[in-house]
Amino acid sequence: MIATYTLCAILFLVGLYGVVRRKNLIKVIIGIAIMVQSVGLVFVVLGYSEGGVGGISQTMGLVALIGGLAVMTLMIATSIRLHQKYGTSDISEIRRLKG
Amino acid sequence: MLPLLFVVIPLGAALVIFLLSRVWERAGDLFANLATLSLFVISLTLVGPILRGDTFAYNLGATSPLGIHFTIDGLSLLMLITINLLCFMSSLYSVNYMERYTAKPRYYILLMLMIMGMNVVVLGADLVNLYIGVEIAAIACYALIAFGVEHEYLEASFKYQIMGTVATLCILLGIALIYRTAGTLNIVELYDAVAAAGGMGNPILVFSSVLFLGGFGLKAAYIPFHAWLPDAHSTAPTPVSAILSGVFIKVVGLYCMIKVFFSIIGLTPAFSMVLMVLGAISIIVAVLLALAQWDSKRLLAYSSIEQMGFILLGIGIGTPLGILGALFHLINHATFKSLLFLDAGSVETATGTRDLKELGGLNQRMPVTGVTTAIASFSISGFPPFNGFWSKLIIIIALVQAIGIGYPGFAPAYITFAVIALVGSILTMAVFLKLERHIFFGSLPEKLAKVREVPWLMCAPMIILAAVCIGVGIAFPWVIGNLLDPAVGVLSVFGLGG
Repeated sequence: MIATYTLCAILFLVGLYGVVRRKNLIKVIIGIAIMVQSVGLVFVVLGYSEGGVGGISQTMGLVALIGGLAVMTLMIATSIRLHQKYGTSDISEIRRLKG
Repeated sequence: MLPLLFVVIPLGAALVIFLLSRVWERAGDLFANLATLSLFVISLTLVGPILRGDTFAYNLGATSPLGIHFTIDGLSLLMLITINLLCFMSSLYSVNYMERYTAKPRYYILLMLMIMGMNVVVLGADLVNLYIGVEIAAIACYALIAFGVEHEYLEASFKYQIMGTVATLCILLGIALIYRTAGTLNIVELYDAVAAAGGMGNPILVFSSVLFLGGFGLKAAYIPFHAWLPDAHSTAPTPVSAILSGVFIKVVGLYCMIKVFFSIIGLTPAFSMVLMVLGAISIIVAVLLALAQWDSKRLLAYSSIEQMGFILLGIGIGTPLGILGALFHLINHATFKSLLFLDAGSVETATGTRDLKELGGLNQRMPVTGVTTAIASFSISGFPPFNGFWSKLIIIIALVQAIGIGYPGFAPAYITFAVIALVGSILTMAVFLKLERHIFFGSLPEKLAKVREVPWLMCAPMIILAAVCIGVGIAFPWVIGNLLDPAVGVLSVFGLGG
């Protein structure tokens, strides 16, 4: 049980590392995807530890995945447009707003 | 049935606009305004029953934990009135303003979805609904910020998408941990369940409350988490900026934070201190950053962070007077900051620029915008008898009062925060003197000599909001008695001395 939670925590942190440190738009989105999956996994573990199918954790797991899917679709669409406008996928070069 | 209307009307309006816009281009203008107006009227009719002590509840589906539960109490009614008033004003303003963008019906559809998401957050009686509302409102909001599909819009939206998604994932993880420990997600049941699980003595609950603080703090844009706000709020289309600064950050950030730290975990001295420190830092840092801005909407965005600091400072005190001041400042900030954003949008529409250095002397050419901006600036800087004065005064009095009745040992902190709040209000005045001086006073530049006032449909929401600013300022005892007292009653039982 502890091992699975540790796995979730490691996945979450790996995703967060990708979001914070990577410069490529797509790699940032992959980081987000890993984080979404890790939270989904937390709900799977929660449902398992209740001894059977937990109603709420099942619902919440689905909600987490659907929410993540919606956000990621939007992110990928935005990143395509960003690449068209700026001609690069490097986040450090997409910097018009400052101050 | 009544609470369900706040979800069904915007959702239905989105569907009707989607279907009718193919045959009739202006369907969005009509139905969006009808929907927001009816929501505002319905929320106003609830004032009387709530004052008599009624609460409204609606269960969609089973009464088991899996059903959808909506409740309306004093606090949610206050938020509903604020949300729906401002959304009505913004949709009225959009009729002419959004002509510059293509695909106007889609804008209205996204706007309706955002309103629905915010209403769900406010109505939801369990954490699942809260999360779903936050996510719906956030996704609609990302798309609305990117609505212009130019360089800046996309960049601001992407930045907010990344930060917002990390925030919602933190919130979701917090919900998972609290569910594992307490075994329920219903907000009313959670208070006892959390206390039974050991409250703040339980390390898992401490960790989940830290996750909530980070997640909702990112959504509400307090100072260490604020990086996305100035970009997003200054580039979004103006009616959207008005909603974002006016209610969005309050509903998905602050309201949820209040729900978690008061109604679920219960205020402890440690959280009281954390909230007040976050608020005080936001006040000082954001007001200094606002002073340095030359883009009018960016200046207003930084000023929003500062005013949110005042609200958090008041909430953090935890006494009934502090909560009253905070909630009063919340509705006041919603009115005058939306008004200021609408004014900045009007100036941009008329002159084509937001750069303060290129503007000047517009009072002669744009009287309505000039007068309404002056009223809003007086309100936000805290001049009597405008509404901002009373709420700031109540927060400072509450800080002084807390020296006697607050947590023991916090007296030096209360004095420091009261001084910070005073200095913050004086610096706010400087920020808005700068705004007024560079846009409306001084000499009119040559190329602006032919500027004309914006159409009446854009002036009308500005005039109404200015009237609300003055009206609430003059009739503040009535507002406190009828709207705020029921809301404070909901929270103060969980606060200090409750």
